[in-house]
Amino acid sequence: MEENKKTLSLLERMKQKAVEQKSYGGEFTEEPAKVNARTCQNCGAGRSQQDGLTHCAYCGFEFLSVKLTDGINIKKEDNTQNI
Amino acid sequence: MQETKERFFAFIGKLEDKLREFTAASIPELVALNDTDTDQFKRGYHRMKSAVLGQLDSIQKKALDVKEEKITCFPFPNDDHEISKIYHQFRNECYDRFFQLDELYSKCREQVESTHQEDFESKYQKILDEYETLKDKFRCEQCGSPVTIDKIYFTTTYITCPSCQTRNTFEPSSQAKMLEHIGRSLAEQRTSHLLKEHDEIPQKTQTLYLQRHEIELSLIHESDKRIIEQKRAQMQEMEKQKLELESKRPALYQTYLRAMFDEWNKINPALADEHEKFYNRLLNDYHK
Amino acid sequence: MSNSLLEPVHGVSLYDYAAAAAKMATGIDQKEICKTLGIELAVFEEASALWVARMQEDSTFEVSILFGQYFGEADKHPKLSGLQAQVSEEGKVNLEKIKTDRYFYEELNGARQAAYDYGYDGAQWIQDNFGISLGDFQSVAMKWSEVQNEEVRNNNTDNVHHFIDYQQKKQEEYAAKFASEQGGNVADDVEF
Repeated sequence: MEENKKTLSLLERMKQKAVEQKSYGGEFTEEPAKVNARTCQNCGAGRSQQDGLTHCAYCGFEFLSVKLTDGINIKKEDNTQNI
Repeated sequence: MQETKERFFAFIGKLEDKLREFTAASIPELVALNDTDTDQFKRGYHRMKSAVLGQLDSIQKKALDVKEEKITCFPFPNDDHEISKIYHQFRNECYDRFFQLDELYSKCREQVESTHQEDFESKYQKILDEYETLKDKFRCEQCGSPVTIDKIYFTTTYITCPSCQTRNTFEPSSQAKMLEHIGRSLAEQRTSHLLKEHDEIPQKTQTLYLQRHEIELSLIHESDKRIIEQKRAQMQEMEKQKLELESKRPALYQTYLRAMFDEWNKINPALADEHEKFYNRLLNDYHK
Repeated sequence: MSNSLLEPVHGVSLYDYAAAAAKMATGIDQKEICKTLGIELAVFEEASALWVARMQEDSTFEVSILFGQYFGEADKHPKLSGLQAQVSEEGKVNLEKIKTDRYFYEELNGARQAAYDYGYDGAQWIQDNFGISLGDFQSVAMKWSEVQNEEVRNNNTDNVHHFIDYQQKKQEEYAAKFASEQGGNVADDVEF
């Protein structure tokens, strides 16, 4: 009986410690899906399909400073041509 | 030595009681905490489980330390052959007793570990359900026309507005971003019976080997020709079964691996090409 | 570059990816990392997923080994080295010390393991008590593991064992401390 009590009180303390602690990285918040569109911060133009993703078709502003390769959904063709 | 052995056995017995008692008491607590922990990763539960396992470790370590100190290092005159023999007998008995505790300790750990099984089916279902509700929900940021999310994306991507051709950026929810990861675990879970079939073969062949060996031994004192023949045939049959099982084993692995990757591809087809390369690598590694 | 698996993905090199992972583990925001690399989240997420796939595909483990090495060299990355998480003065001193003092590193390694065994989040415990983030700790761990691998290659196993024993000793010391804080271990009353 005495034994059992000791075990239970140890478990109780362990549980309290486990629950009350702060977790590394803090609370995790589930982010919902969202849509937005980037416009050129230089001239205000939007990005359209035929213009490619890397540069602004109007003023040449650089949206992405890399050369796109064939990835999952983004493909080589998404590099802005004619710049 | 006799006295030390008795004390050691009693000591191990008491530690075993502790293992049983503590495991039995912690399991309902862990199950309850697992149910009530609202954290996405159940971190409170995992900390508690880690602490419970730590206590089981401390019991096992206590037994190990005493085994080292009192049994392994038991002082006795080394030059006396007779005593040396008795010592080895004593040591073996105590070691066996320790191994019994060690086995119990492993079982207790397994029981504690099994209080949590990640439910990948329901995580995947949530992603599917979410997709149904969001696929027609969005509008183009530029012109306001409806933009359809044509499939489940697990990485942020660009979606073109059918009306004005603007590239909208679609960022999946945090749970959808886990699709690739959950997909593999779920595919493994769904095909685990196939892996089990493969993994069980060594034990099956071992059993056949032992059975065959027993028959072989029984032949030594057998004089009846008919029985000898019968038993020989039996042995041959067993040997055949054993060889068959062994030759089937690589094919079973491939069956498992193919099924697992097919499942994974169904869940996340976007990376099917990459999965295929991974599949080939694992298969090659297996045959190495 | 002989291994085609090491070619950049969307211009994101393995070094970019590994250094980004290390920086994120110190608490730097993903958006900040993308901005510094001059890319958008869509590019970064595709590159990350494909780098993981490359590691899975690679039977030589070259990609994974290099990833580990680059992870430990995040502070030398041409673009990302400038991104520094907020670190306390004490944290800075301790971080410098685990980088240079192997005994101190092994002590914290042992302490961290003991913390987990007594129900603490080991990463948080190190952060709270020594001001070192998980990312920084892992980066340093990668470096020391390279040192240890080098010792194994040179058959300097004495040194390897020396530090393993030291870590073990420290782990036991911290375990004893945590045990007394929780009112002892469950089998304290069982005596031989």
